[in-house]
Amino acid sequence: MSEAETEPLIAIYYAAPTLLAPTASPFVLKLLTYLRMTGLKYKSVHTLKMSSKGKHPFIVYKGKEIADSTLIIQFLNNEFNKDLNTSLNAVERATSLAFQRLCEENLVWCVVHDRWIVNTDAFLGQLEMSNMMKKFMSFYVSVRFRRVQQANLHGHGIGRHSDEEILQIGKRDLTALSNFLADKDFFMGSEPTLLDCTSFGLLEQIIECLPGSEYEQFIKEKLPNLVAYTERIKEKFWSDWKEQCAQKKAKHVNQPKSDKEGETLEKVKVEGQNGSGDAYAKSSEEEDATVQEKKTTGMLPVTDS
Amino acid sequence: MSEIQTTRGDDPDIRVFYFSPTLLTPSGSPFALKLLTYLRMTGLKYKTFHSLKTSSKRKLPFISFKGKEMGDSTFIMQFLNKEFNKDLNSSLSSVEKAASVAFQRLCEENLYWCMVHDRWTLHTERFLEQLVMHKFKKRVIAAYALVHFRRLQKANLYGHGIGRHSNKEIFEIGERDLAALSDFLADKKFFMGSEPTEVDCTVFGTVEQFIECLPGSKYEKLIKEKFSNLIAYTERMKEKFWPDWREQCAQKKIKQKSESQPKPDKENGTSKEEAKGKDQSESADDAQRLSVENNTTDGEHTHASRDDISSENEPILTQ
Repeated sequence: MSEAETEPLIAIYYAAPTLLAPTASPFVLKLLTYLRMTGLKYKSVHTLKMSSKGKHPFIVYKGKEIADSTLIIQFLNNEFNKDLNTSLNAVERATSLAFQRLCEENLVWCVVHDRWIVNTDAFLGQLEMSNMMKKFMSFYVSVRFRRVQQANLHGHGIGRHSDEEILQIGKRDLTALSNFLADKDFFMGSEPTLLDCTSFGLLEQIIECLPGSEYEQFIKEKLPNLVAYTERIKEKFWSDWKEQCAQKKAKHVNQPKSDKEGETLEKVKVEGQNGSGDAYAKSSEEEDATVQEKKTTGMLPVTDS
Repeated sequence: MSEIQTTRGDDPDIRVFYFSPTLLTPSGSPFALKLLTYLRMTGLKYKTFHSLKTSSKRKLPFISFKGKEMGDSTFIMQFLNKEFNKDLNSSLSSVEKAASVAFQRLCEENLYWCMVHDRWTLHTERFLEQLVMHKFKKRVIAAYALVHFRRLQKANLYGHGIGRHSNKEIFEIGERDLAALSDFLADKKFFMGSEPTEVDCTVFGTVEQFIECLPGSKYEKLIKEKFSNLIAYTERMKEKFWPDWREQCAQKKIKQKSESQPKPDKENGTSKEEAKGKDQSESADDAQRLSVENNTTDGEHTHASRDDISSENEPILTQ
């Protein structure tokens, strides 16, 4: 458990929680789940500032930035002598890596496509922010961010397919995950391994954070073992799931500024091993996100009822 | 070895369009090699066209089937499976089929990009040397490849995400994937067991590029030193489905006017010498046509001439 004296050495940077999840990013959720699985202490810093590779998450450890969740995990494994895959043999490790690639290099793009091209409004609805901010985000997403994601999808290749074909690809991957998991507790057996961080991070986004999507419907109707699986992981490593999500705020004119997407101030959350820290402190150490977000905030937080 | 049969005069319905063969391989594209291997594995008859024109998805290969164009090797195979009632995975359990899909994603959505990175940002000249074409066209293609196509691929690499890493990081990612393939294959004859299945088309198509078609690269060295079971595996696949591998590669032309140009032999070794010998009797007039020199008409496929191609005036790469 973290105490006031021992500041965690690992600071993770990612965008603020949404109403439905501690993070909207499958890679951030993967990294946070890894940290909880290994028991490493960390603190979260909410920011829209991107890593040197232009993505989230990234960490700062002893003053050094490390980007890319896989590279971060490899680094932390080395630094702290951790290995979540000790129980696996060579064939199992190989299979584990293959499923990691399925999740991170293919299925995740189906989520990106659904979230940023098909059902963007559903995603924006999950963000805890003022009406004004929502309008701005909606505009910013449709003009700029969607274009960025379209270029990414096109570069990857999957964006060249029709919506129906992309859906087919996603369903094929989800079916493979479900068939491989079968009736096991965790992906590689009765104990969680590194693959579970990736697969939970992604599946959770699909099951809970793509509300109304065809993927959500498909999983709930045809692949219930995946739903049960995510519940199992949450029970084991995310007992404070609801507290880690963004909280809907009541309308209050004179409330001090607090955590919101794109806020000028950032929240530094000090978390212990179980992620149960609830000490909030305003931090001025971090440079804020993009200039646009900065400019449009400044109004007092009000939320939808 | 399975018998490959066709009757002459047959006009197969499946027409496969892909970029031309290289000196080292029937196709420099893992997806075209995957599709061709699938067609050979299933015994389906097909006709090949060498084309720079891409599908509506702006990629190669694509097929034309009874006048309908179809892109993406995976969708093509799914379609052909249904159309011709083929299933190369019938012997697999649902867990094995799932693992198959995972390894297909590893090859096609990750490892493939390591190859693209090596070929189009690090060692493009080596790849261009593998293409056989008339000198002038080669210069045009080289200029296009180095300026425009490389920029396209860099944008693709960046969009995919892998292009944001350093060269060293990308190599390590590729190394991990190759290690996983090698470990999973272990001492099995084919990827999922003693019989070939659909994923062998993908694994063979991808790994073959790393072994033979990135000459002088760190990957080639790595595989030879650490993952030799992958090399034996590709040899087995070639023996079973590509006994005409050498004939399907591009054949080097010899100029009849002067002595053959001394070209660096370091990539090709004996295959180039064999090809040179084979070309001695061929006419230099064929240089401007899409040629059929390395066609084996006894095989299950025929290479079409330029006139057969139904597309408009697209620049066609000749051999």
